[in-house]
Amino acid sequence: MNLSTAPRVRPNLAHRLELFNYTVRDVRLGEETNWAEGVLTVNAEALKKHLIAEAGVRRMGIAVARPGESVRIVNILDAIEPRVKPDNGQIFPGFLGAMDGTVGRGVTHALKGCAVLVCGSVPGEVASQVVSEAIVDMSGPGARYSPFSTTRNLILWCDFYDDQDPVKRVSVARHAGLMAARWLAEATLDHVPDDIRVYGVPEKTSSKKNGPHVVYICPGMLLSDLHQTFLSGSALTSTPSVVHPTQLMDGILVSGNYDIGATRNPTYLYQRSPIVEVLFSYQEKGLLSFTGVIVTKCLIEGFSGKQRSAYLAAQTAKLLDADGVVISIEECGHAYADLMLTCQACEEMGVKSVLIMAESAGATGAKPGPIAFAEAADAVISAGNMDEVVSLPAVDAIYGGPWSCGRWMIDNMALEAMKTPLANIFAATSQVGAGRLKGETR
Amino acid sequence: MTRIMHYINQFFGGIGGEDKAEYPLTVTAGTVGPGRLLAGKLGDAGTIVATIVCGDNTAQYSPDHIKQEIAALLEQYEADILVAGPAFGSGRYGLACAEAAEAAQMYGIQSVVGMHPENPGIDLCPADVIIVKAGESVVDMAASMEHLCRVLVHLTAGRPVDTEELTYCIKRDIRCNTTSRKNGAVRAVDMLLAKIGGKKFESEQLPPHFPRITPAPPIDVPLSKIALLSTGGLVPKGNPDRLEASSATKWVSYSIAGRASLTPEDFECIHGGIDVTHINAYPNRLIPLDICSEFRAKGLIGALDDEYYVTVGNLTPVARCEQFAVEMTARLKEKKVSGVILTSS
Repeated sequence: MNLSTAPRVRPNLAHRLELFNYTVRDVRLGEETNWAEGVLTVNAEALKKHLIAEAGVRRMGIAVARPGESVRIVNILDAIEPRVKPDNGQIFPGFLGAMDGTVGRGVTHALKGCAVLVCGSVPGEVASQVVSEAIVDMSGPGARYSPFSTTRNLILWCDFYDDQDPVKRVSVARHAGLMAARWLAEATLDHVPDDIRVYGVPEKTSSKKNGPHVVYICPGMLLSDLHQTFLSGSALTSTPSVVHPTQLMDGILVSGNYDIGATRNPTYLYQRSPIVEVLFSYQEKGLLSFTGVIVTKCLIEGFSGKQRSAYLAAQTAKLLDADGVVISIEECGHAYADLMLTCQACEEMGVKSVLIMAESAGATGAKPGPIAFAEAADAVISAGNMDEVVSLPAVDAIYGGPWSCGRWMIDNMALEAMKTPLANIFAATSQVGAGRLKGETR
Repeated sequence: MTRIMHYINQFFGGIGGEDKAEYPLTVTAGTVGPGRLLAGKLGDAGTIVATIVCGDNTAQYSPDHIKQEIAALLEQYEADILVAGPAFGSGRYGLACAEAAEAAQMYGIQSVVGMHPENPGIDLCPADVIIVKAGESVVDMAASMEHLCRVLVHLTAGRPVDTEELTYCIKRDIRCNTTSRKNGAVRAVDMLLAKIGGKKFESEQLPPHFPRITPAPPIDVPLSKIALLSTGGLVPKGNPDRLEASSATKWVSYSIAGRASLTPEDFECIHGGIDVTHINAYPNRLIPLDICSEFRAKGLIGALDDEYYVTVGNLTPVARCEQFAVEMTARLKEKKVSGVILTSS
């Protein structure tokens, strides 16, 4: 390994991770799997064989979709950036390996600009067992909404054994996606990266000479077996956990949430969290010190449970010496009560807060705002109105398996022109700050 | 000259009142009823090429079909602008005008509708519809038409509606999507630094305003007739009226005459936003007929209405819910009901 290209490292960073970025400008299917000069070539047959043997998939379709192509991807369950750690380091702990001291430290290889999109048709029978539609258009007006219209995508369409219930199906698809992500990134192991970025939180210091201390409060969810987030392989509890931001980069958070496509947070957006990215880049500029990430749970049942979690999270932020917090959210409905209570608890303890929330203002934009809105919530970012109806044109190709959508009915066939609320477009109103969409009053 | 299509209901089309609310959608070349007044005021600024007349109930029964028909007519008559109403304070006419405006949006042309500021149809109008303020009833026809005409003159001349004309329009106060230069994460951290630094910042979302409801005066329950209402979607097994699991377009009522309890054999919950297991096991958990029958037997409730009233609240627009409430209340008053128990899901 040639490390001479590595930049000088700030001596005062704790839990330091060097992210080796291998830029992907194109993905192709070919005889051998390798990465060279920005081109990722994938031997689809070898990948299929690997996943059918290891992940419990019955059959699998593999396709490639690039920005600008007339392609629609449907039935998306999750997006993952291919990553691997050399020297026995653990990536996606709890799924592909154990949780240990290497998570969020040392070196991680990433195929930057590439995403594995795991797709599968998972019909549900009752409301709590619903997998909602999530689609990505690689070109046309729909491409403007999903962050995954700009990545070079390897699409894995999983076919399941007939007797598998919805929960087993998504678990198989999840494993297949994570395994594929590691398998693909292994192609970079003997190569020199395009770019090395060094990340880490500052060594313990009470000095504010490097700007205010900022903490990111990142709620995942647990509502049912189909609507959850994993923290190193385990379901979230309503007791907040503190993690290093670099651990997000190594896949300590994995999405298992298949509810509303526009407001769910895919694994990719934890690995390459837009908020973590901005906080680190501002830290580098000396504008602030990023002191940690608090992982909490939203959609907690009952008011007292919500309140308990909110105050525990705020108190943890205070212990991390936070002057301010950015709070994201997942999904909608009473998740906003969790968000608002956390905001209120932080402000009560003197920690300034900014929230990011999508809006559900109805197709005409006239529906009143969220069910909960704290008085203390005076700084709220809008991720856009997920109910806005957009027209998508007909496309040449469709990937992701048989067209079956969950809760949001789309009458048309997927290949044809269709009208759909943004809610069906994958990460269109990202509440972890990935998008540029925002709502305004007219 | 700008080609205008005018949409009006059966009353203003001269067909008849409530008894003609089922009148089918028809089209007539030129002006009908209030269109003549508008054409006179417009002069050379535009010409009304055709008028659509449609019964208010007809418009509600099959909205998708009606919208398609209107869009086809706009194409056939090569219309540049759709004018609907004025609907004044009439709720159902207002909803129909909103539907016509949606059809214009489908066809890709501007629409201008006239409505009283409290007409529930306002909230169903697409975001880009211009709504001109109208009076509460037809006595305000002249003034309402004058305002509608002034806005139209601007539009037909290809000029945007200016501040003076905007005073004739209803401020929509609706949320529209725009694209920002920076992503949400950058905006969030910038806002946080401004907030910590005591600098000015502007929140992108403000608390919602819900209308306050004044409670009705208390009633003497043992002397009163009580009805059971719910937004929780309990229907007879098989859902005979096809009540929607979400975004309901109707409310329905079902007989409970002779029943002391709602049994799982006869009733089911079709609400699409909740886990319905516990309701389906014992439907009285949603609509408490069991305990109400018991109270009635003990004389704690004067009388129970012989049907229950139900819709689904899940994702149903507030404006439509308000319309359901007006219709349900009229029915309850007719049946001399003086109190209701309203349960949600």
